[in-house]
Amino acid sequence: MLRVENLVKDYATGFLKKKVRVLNGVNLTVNKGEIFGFVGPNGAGKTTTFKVILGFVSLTSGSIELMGEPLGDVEVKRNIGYLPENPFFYDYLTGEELLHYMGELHGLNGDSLSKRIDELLEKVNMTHAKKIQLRKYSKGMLQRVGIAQALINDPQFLILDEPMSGLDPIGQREIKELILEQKEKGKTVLLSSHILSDVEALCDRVAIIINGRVVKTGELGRLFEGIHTNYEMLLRGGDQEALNNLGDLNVEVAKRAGLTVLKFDENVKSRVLDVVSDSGGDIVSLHPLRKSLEGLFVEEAKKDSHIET
Amino acid sequence: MVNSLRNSSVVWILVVILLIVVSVPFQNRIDDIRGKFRSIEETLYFSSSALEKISLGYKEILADIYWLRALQYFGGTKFQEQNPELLYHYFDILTDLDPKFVNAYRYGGTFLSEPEPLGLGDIERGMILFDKGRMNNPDNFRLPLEQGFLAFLYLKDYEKASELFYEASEKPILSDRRRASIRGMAALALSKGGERELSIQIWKTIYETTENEGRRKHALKNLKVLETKDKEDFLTSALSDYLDRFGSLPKNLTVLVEAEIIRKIPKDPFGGEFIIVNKLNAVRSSTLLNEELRYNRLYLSSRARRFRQSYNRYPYDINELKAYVDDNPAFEFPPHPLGEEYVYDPQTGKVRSN
Amino acid sequence: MKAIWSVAHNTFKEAIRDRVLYSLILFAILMILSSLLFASISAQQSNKIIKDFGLTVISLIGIIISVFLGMGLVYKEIDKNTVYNIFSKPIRRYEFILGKYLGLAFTLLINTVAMGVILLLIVLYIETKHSGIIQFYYGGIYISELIKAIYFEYLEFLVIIGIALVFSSFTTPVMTLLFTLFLFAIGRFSSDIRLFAEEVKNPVVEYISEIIYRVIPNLEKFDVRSEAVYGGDVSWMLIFYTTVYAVIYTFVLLILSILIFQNREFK
Repeated sequence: MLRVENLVKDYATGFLKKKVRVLNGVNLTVNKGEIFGFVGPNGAGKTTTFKVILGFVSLTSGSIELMGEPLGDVEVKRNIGYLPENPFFYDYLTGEELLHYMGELHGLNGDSLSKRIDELLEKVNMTHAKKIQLRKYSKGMLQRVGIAQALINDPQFLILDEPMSGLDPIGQREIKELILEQKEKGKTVLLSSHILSDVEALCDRVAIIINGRVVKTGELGRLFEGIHTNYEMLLRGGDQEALNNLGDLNVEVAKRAGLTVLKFDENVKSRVLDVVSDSGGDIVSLHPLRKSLEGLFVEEAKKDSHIET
Repeated sequence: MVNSLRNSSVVWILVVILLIVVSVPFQNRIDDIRGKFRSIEETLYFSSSALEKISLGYKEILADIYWLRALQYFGGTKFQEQNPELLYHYFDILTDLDPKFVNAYRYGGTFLSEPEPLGLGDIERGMILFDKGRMNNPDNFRLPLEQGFLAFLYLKDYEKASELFYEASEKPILSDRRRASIRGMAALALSKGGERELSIQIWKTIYETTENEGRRKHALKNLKVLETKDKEDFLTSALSDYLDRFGSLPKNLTVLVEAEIIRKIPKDPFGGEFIIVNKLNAVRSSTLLNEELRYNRLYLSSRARRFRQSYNRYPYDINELKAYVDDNPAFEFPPHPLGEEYVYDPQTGKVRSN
Repeated sequence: MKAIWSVAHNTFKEAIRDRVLYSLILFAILMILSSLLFASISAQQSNKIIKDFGLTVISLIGIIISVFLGMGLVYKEIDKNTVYNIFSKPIRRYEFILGKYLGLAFTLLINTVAMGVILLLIVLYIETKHSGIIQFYYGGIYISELIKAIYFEYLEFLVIIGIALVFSSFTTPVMTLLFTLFLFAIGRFSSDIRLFAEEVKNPVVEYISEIIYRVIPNLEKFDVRSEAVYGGDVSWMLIFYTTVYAVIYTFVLLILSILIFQNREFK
């Protein structure tokens, strides 16, 4: 569906046209029929990558193949739906008019377009705001209309830049369902996010981009192989002396708001649980600290700075 | 892909240039129909109060624009129909916008007053402009001084010239030497027979102070004319001495030297020679004579044409033309400089001399 | 091609909803009030004053709309990120530029026609009421010249929109405003440059001035307002030549806009 190889993008900024490298070797392959997550912290280059793919900005070097066509082919866009980051539309149009305009740009018109608009507004729960001008929309409403306009041409390939942002949890769930529905129909979806949990339940594969470079690609579960998972346990009461001895097992012990906080590695989990039940303490909560994208970012950033120094 | 884009950019830029070239004949056709300088001519008819409002208070800059336009529009030699009314209007607006713009009065007033080819020969409007300038700039001595020159040289109103010189001499900015010389001019303007002396002084002043090459040449020429006239007078008086002594005119001027009335014959500054005009008992420079004759002929022919505009025919004979010319109190029928009669052709209205 | 019309339609819709039409209402009220006022105080010159005033106001409103809407035409879409929606659709950049231009040109057409009709009605009313005296002062009633003058004003708007579009496709609205007004001023005084070229004896300066005169928009050529008041021949040939000139010049501006916009990055 999409193949991006060694993509490099420099922006000339300022009066002196000083070059700033925004993308520094992005490699992506999105296969037909999968949901692909593009994950990275803010400013890592996710949106810029999308902009290059869609031809909004030129590329400095590298190659891109979109649906089998080289970059710059306008016809390819007939089969693409795109949701920009923080979508903003014309203030003076109503939701319906916006979708109509976008549909016209795809060459759609007449009754079939009107029907399609009604369907999509229904699907994103915006039928009530059909006749309201966009300047009266909330951020979440704009996001919903944005998704509707991306789907107006029933695209084969859907590119969504931060689709969950601005939505409440209910809205997020609805959008996730919508994306999964697209997959069921055999469509391909490429979505970006800076929150790992957003992509966790959705994506078949994920690429992680940091500082303009894709550092890891693959199934999400496999990405964290080799990275130790930590646990955090909150305890009420219990024999303090016994708990303090846990230090021998490399367990961090701390006090917080009258509770005891234990932090430990996966491989000592069963032994810690034994000690805790022996001490007579009451387990308030136990949760893994693993799969922290932030942790991964930090780790990768460390690698980066290591390379630089 | 980048290359092909660049190539097509080049092609399109060529298309742009081509289109502009194609538009040129259309521009020319429009200019032909509407006149090239329409907008400039149109702005002449704005009133100055309207312009003041348009200028949003930037009156002086607008005056400057008008000034530049006037210089270019009227200073050009291409304009056959230079209209004194238009020029006056232009300078009137310009000085309404910027009443302290002394050079506008000086340039406009002088250009209006001076005869062709230096100016437009409209002395009345020139004087009005200078009057306005003096009123708005009471401390400036150049305005009354130069207006005095014009009044003296072209208006031949010696009383007014004297008053203006006197006014100029009163300005506190003058040095004592300058004041004295201008006072002298005021006195000379009134004295009988002082005309030529003052004229020489004025032309000398103009020659020394003007930056305009054409005016300088004109001043120099006038100085030469005055010098020639002095010499003519000198020789004419020698001639009458001879006539008194011998009762008849000499054959030529060398006879005067031989009779030891004069020491030698002066040179004609224009390179011509002095000749004796028998009918008038006078000596004249051939250069001045020819010029005067030519001028008179052209003038009389033009009056004959004017006559035809009013009566649909040329005057029947020289006497009818003479009566027509004398009808206008401002002009006088110019006598033939050799004391002879003009030859007039009633068919063509042309005046010749033999 | 259909995409051009979609963009044009949307641009028109935006302009209309941007309260441009209020200018029409303002114009109508201004004209009617002033005609009533002038008719009473102008010593039988109300006809001239209404025409002068009306043509000037049509021109001013048109130029203001051209410049102020023109300067945001492209910039606003980039600034508000709406280009990302547009260009994720199968539309080429030149189609977008042409659509934007046509949309605003159509807005001005509606606007100018409406203002022109209002003016025409008032002038007709006044002239039929005082036809004798107007015949006496102006030697005729110049209705067709009035219409031609409005048409010429519209041609000027077409060029000015083009100028604003060129600048709008690479710089900010403030700069666009400055550049456009600058070119407008030069264009209105183009014959001064001509005069300068003829008067300066230096062949190099003359050559350069001549080129400048040919390249800048000769906006003076679109002014036949005085003919509408005093009468005067606005021949069909003049209309033809002036129209061709406006069209050629507009094409030049559109090509330049497209060339610039083609390489523009939407950061």
